[in-house]
Amino acid sequence: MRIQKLSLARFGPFTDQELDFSVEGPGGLHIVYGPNEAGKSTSLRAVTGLLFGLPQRSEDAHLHAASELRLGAVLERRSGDERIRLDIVRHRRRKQPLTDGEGRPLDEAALEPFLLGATRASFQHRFALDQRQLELGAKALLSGAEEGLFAAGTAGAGAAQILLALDEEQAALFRPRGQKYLLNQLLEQLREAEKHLRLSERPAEKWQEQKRALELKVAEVTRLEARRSQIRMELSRKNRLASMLTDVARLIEAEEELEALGQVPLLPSESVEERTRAVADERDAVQEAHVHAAELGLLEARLRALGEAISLEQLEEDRLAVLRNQLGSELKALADLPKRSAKLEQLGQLVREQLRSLGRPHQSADELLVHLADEGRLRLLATEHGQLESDVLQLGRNVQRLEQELSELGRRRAALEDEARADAGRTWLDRDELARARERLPALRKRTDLERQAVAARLEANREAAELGLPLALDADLLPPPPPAELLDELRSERQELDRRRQMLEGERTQLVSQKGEAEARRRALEEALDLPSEEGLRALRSHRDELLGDGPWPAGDAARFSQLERAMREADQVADRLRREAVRVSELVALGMDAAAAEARLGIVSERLIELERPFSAWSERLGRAFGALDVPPADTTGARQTYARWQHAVSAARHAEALEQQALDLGREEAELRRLLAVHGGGEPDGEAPIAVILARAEAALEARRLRRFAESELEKEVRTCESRLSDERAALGVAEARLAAWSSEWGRATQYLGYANLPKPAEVQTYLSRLGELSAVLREEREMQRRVDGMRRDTAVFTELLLQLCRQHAPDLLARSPIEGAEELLARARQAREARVQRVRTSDELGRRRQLLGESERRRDGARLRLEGLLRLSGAATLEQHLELEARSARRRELLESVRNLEDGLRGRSGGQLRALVDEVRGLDHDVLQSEIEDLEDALRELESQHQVAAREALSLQQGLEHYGTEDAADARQRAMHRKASAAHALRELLVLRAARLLLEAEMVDYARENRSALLGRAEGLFSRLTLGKYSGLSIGLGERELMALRGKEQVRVAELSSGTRAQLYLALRLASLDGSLGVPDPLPLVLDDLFVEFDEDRAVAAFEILGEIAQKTQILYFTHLARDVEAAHDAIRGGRVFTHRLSAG
Amino acid sequence: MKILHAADLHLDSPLGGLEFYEGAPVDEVRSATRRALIALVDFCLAEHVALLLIAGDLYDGDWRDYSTGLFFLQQMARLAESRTQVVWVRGNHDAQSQITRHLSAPAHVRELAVTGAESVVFEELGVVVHGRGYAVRDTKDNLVSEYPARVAGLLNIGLLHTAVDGREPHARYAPCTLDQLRACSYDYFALGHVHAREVLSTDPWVVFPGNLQGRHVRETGPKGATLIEAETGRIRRVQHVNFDVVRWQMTEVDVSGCEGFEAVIERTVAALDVAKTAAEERVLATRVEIVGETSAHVSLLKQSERLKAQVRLESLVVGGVYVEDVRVRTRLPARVSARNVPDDAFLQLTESLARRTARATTDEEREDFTERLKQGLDAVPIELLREQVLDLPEILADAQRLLVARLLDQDEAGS
Repeated sequence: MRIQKLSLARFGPFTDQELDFSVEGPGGLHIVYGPNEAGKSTSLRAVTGLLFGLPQRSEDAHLHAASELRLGAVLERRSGDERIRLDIVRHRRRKQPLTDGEGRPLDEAALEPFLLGATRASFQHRFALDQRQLELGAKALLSGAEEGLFAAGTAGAGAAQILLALDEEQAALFRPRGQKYLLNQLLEQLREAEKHLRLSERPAEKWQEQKRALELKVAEVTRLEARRSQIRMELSRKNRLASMLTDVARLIEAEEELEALGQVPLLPSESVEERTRAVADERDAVQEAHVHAAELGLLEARLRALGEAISLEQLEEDRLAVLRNQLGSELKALADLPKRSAKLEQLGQLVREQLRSLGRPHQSADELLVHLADEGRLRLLATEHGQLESDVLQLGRNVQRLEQELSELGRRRAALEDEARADAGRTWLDRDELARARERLPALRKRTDLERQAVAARLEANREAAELGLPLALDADLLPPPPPAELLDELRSERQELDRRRQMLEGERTQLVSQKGEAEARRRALEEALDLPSEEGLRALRSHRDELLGDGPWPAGDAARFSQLERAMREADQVADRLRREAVRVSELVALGMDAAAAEARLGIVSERLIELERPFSAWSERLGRAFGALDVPPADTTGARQTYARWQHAVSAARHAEALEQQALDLGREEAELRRLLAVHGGGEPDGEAPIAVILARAEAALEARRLRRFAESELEKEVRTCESRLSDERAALGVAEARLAAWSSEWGRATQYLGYANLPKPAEVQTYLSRLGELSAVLREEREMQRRVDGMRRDTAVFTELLLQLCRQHAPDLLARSPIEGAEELLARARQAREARVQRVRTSDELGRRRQLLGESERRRDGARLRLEGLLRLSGAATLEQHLELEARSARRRELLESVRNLEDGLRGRSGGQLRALVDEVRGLDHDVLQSEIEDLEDALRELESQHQVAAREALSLQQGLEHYGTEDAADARQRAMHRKASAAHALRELLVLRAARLLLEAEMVDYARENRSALLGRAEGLFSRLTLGKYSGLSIGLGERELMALRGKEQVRVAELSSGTRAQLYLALRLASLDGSLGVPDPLPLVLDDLFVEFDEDRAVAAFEILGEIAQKTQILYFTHLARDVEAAHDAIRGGRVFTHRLSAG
Repeated sequence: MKILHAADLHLDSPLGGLEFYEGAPVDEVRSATRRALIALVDFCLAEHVALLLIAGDLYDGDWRDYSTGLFFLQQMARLAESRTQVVWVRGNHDAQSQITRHLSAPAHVRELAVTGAESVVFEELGVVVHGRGYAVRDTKDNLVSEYPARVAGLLNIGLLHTAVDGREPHARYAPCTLDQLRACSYDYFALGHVHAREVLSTDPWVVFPGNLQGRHVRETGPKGATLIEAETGRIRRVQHVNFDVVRWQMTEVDVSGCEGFEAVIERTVAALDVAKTAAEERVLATRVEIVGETSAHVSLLKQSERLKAQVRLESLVVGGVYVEDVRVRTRLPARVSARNVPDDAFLQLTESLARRTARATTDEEREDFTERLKQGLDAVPIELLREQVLDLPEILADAQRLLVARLLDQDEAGS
C-alpha cells in the first residue's frame, strides 16, 4: 500500500494542509520537512489515526474542536497488474467515522486489504516509528536479551510482561503456605465443611443402638407413671379430709355468733350508702351557698365604681383611625418640611451655576435642552472621526513599510544575480551523474577488501600448491591441471569392484575356516562320547536268553528261573537299545568328517583366487600413479586420491579467484581515478587527490545542492517581489479611499454643529463635553421640580388634619379647642381609648352578677333535698336520731354477714361430702388435725421423689426419641451438599490457577524456543545494518544462549549496550527494528514506513549512511520521513541518487 | 397394568460443581435426589403402579448416614397404600453400603439375593422377576449366565445392574452382551448402572432408564424412570417419565456478531430464558458456554470473572437458574484475526502455541506436563487436584485462549 495523498484538513495545528506523495513506481523516500512545532509528530499520529481511527481522547483537538477533526487520504494498492485506489476521509465521531471522498459512509472493512492484517498497535510498533517507539524497544532489549528479542520479533507483544502478570495472578490466587489468598481460603473452608460433614454423619449401628435404648427408657417411664398415679390418689383423699376440718370449725363458730346476736331488723343493703350520700350532699350545699353570697356582694360594689357612660364611647373607630394617621403624618411633616425647603433652594442655585458654566447665564434651561435631541447623531460622527483618522495613519505606515521591503528584495535579487553570473561559467556534473557516482561508492569502498581477499586467495593457492608439490605460478593457467574427474571416477569404480571381490573371498575364507573348525570340534566331542557295545556281546546275550526260554515247560512257582530269565531279557534289550542309539551318532560322525574335508578343499580354491586378485590391484596402483604423475608424492588409495584431487582443484580455483579479485580491484581503482578526475572539474573546484572519494563526492554534491538551492531561492525571491508589489499597490489604493472618507465627514460635521452657536467649527471632543454638561443640567432640573412637588403636598396635608380635629373637639371635648392641634389631637385620642375600656368592664361585671345569683339558688335547692332523704331513712329504721340509726345499721350488717358465711360453708361441705353434710361434719370432728397433716406431708415427699425420677427418665426418653427423629432430618445430606458447594468453589479456583500455570508454562517454553530459533537470524540482519549505520566502527553484535545481555562488537572489544553513546544506541535500535521488518517488507506491496525525526542524534556521515539504508528499503516500500533538520534533507539527497527521494514542506496553520 | 422401572437413585448424593454465590437457588437444589424419589412415589400412587423395579445403586457406596435409608423406607412405606410391590437389586454402590446392610424393609419391598439369581413370581399380576444383586462392589462376573429360564405364561422381567458391552466412562461391572440378554428370552430387561437413558433393544425390551436426578453437568437432560404398560402378559407400551427436580443442561450461546460485553450478556440472558423454559418449571443448573466469532473476544477472556458474575446476576432475573460456570470459547472474527503478513511473528506464535498445546496432551508429554503443573501444590487435596488434571486438554485449551487474548490485549493496549 502507498499513501498517494495525505490531507490534514482539520487536525492538530493544521487546516486544509495537503501533502502529495504521488509518484510513479514502487517505494520512494519522501522527506517531509518542517521547522520545530510545525506538527511533524502530529502528522505521525495523523497517519495512524487515518488508518485505524481517531481516539476518543485526542491531543490534537486544540485548534479544532474534537468533533470537527478530519483527515483524508488517497490510498493505493496493487492487485496483480491493477492499481486500486481508495479515497477516504476519517472523522472523529461514533457514527460513520469513515467516509469516502464524497462523504458517503465507508465500512472499515474497505481498509483491510490495504492494511495487510496490521492492527493499530502492530502498525505503531513496526511501521510508525519515532524516537519513543525506538526507546521502548530499547527498554525491552536492556531488560533481557531473550525477552527483548522475543518482543522485537512479536511486534512488542510484551510476552515478558504477560509472564509477569501471570505470575502475579497466580500469587494472588494461591501460595503454598499462604492463608489470605483465595484458593488457600477456599481449601480451608472445604476442610471445615468436610469436617462438619463427618460430624453430621449418623451411621446405622448408632441408630439401632439408640432405638434399643429408647425402648428400655420408655418402659421405665411407664412404670414410674403407674406408681405416681397411685400416690396421687391417696394424697388427694387425705387433702380433702384436711380441708373439710377447717370449714366445719368455721361453721360452728358462725352459728354460735348468730344466736348471740339475737333478732335485729335487716336493713336494705343500699341504706348505708344512701344515708352517707344524703349527709354529704347537705354539707356541700350549705358551703356553696355561703361562697356565692359573698361573691355577689363584691360584684355589685365593682359595678357601682365604674359609673355612667359618656359621649366619647359612641365615637366611631374609623374616624379615630383617620385622626391617628393624620396626626402621624403631621408629626413627620413638621420634621421634614424645613429640610426639603432648603434642598429646593440648593437645586435652584445649581441650575443657575450650570447655565453660567455653559456660557448661557441669561438663557432659560429649557431653551438649551432642545439641543439634546441631536446628541446621538453628534456622538456617532465624533466616533467615526477617530476611526477614519486611525485608518489613514495605519495605511500610510503600511505603504512606507512595503516600500522598504521592496527595496530590500531588490538588493537581495541583485546579489543572487551576481552569484548566478559566476556559476554560469563553471563546468557541472548533473544530479544523475553524481547519483551514479554515489551508487558506486559502496563498490569503490570494497576495493581494499578485494585486494585483501585477493592476497588471501593467492596465499591459499600457493600454500596448497606447495603442499601438493606443484610448481608455483602467478598465472592460474600455468598450474598443471588435476587429472580429469572421469578418470578418477573410473579408478574409484574399479577399486571398489576389486575391494568388493577381495572382501567376498576373504569373507568366504573366514566362513570356511569357521565351518571346518566347528565340524572338527563336534567330531571330537562325538568320538569322546561314543560308547559302542560290540555285535558279538549282543549275540551272546541273546543266546543266553534263548537258552533260558528253551528249557520249558517251566514248573509252577520256580521264581528263581523266572528272575534269571527276566534279567537276561532285560540285558539283551538294553544292549540292543544302545546299539540303535549309537548308530545314529556314528552316522553323524561320518557326515561331520565329510563336511570338514569339503571345507578344506574349498579353502584351497579361495586362497588361490585371493592370490590371483593381487595382480589387478597392482595394475590399478600403476594407473593411479600415472594419473597423479605431476605430483611429487601421488596418493596411494581412492580416499587419498579424492582428497588430493580436491586440494589440487582448490589450489587452481583459489589462484583463479585471486586473479579475478585482483582484476576487480584494478577496475575499481581505474574507476575511482576517473571519478576523481570528473569531480575535480565539477563546479570549478580544485582537484584533491588526498581526500577520500566519499568526501570529495560529498563536497561535489554539496556544491551542486547549493547551486540548486540558490536557484530555488531566486525563484522564491521573484515570487516574494511580485507579492510585495501587489500588496503595495493595494495599500496605496486603500489610503486614497480613507482620505476621501475623512473629507466627507468634515462636511457632515459642519452641518450638524451649526445650531450649537459655535463661532468656528468645533472639535468632536469639544462638542462631546458640551453635550455631557447639557445632560447634567437636565438631571438637576428634573430633581428641582420633583422637590417642589413634594413640599406642596405636605402643606396640603396639614390643612386637612386641622379641619378634622376642630370638628371632633367641637362634638366631644370643647375644652380642647384652646390647645394646639397636636396636643388637642393626642388628648382626644387618649380620652376616647379610656371611655371604650370602661364600657367593656361594665358589661362584663353585669354578666358575672347574673350568673352568681343563679348558682346561689341551685345550692339552696340541693340542701333542702338532702334533708328530706335523711328523714325518710330514719323513718325506715325506726330510729329517733341519726346516732341511733347508725348503731342499728352496724348490727344489721353483721347478721347479714354471718348468715352468708354459714350458707357458703354448708354449700362447700355439702358438695365435698356427697350430700351427707351433717354425717361428714360428725366424721371429721373426730380426726386429729396434726396426724392427718403428717400423713399428707409423707405422701407429698414420696410424690416429689417419684416426679423427679419420672422427669429424668422422660427427659432421657425424649432425648433418645429426638435423637432418632433426627434421623428423619436431612442434616447430613445438607452438610454434604454444602461441602460440595465448597468443593466446587475450590475446584473453580484451582482450575483457574491451573489455567494460569499452564499458560505460563506454554508461553515460557514458546519464548525459549523462539529465542533459540530466531535469535541468530535476527541478530545477523541487525548486525549488518548496525555495522553500516556506524560506518564500520562496530562490526557486529553478540549474545550467548545462556546470556541475557546484548553486546556490540568494536573490533575485538565487546561493549555493553548501556555503555554505547546515545547516538550509537539509537543506531543499534534502528538496526534491530529494521532487521525485524525484513520479513514484513518482503511481501508484495508492503505497508509504508512512517518515521519521525529518527536521526536527530546521528552525526552527518551516519545520517547519510542511514538514508542510504532507507533508500534501499524505499525501493520496496514507500517511506514518509518527517524531519525538522534541513541537514536531513541534504543528507537524504546525498545518500540517495536516482530521483527516488522527494522533498515536501510542512507548515502549521 | 403399570410397571415402573427406575435405577441409580443415588439418594442424598450432592449436586456437584455448583459453587455458592449470592442469590444462587441453593435451597432449590438441596435434597434434589430425595425430592425426585418423592415425585416417583407420588406418580406410583397417582397412576396405581403395580410394580416398582429398582435396578441398583440406591445410595452412594461411601455414604454412611442412616437417615438416607430411613427416608427410603419411609417412601417405600407410602407405596403400601397403593399395594405397589417393589423389587430391587444391589448395584456396585449398594454392595459396600453400610446403609443397605442395616436396612429392614417392609414386606412389599423385596430385595433379590446376592448369592445367586432368583425369581419372584407375582401371581396376581402375572409377572415373574428374575435377578441377582451384587455381593461385592467389584463384581466382574457375568451374572446373566446364571439367570433362570423363561417361565411360560407370565410376563418375564430381568433385573440387573450392568454395563452391557462396556459403556464408558462407567466401570465394567457384571459384564455381559446384549445377545446374552436376548438369549434369556425375557420380555423386558430392566437394567441399571448407566446414567443416561438408552433403549438397547425393543424386541425384547432392554432398557437403561438413566438415573433419577442428574448430579452434575455431565448428566444433562431430562432424568427419571421408564413406565411399562402391559396387558395379558404382553408389553403394550414403554415410555420415559421425568422425575428430576433440577434439570442439568449445557447452554451454548452463540454470540457471533455481538460487538460488546453488554450485547453478549443480553444474548446469554435470552439463551438462559429459552433453556429455563425447556426445563419445564424445574430449577435449571447449567454451564454456559459462550461460542462464536465476536469482536468482544478479548474483552470476554480478559474479564471472564466479571462475565461470570454478570451472567449469574442476570440469571437471578430469569429466576430458578443455577449457573455452574461460564466458559468462554469464542474467537475473533476471521477478518480481525487474519494476519496476511507471511512471517508475522504474532501469527507464528499463536500457531506454535496451538501445536505446543496439542503436543502437551499426547501420551509422551502429558505426564511430564501434568507433573510440572502440579509442582508446589502439595497443600491442595490430591483428589481435588486429580479431578482437575483429568481435564488437562480443556485446561490447555483455556490457557491457549488466555494467552492469545493477552497477546492481543497487549497489542491493543500498545495503541
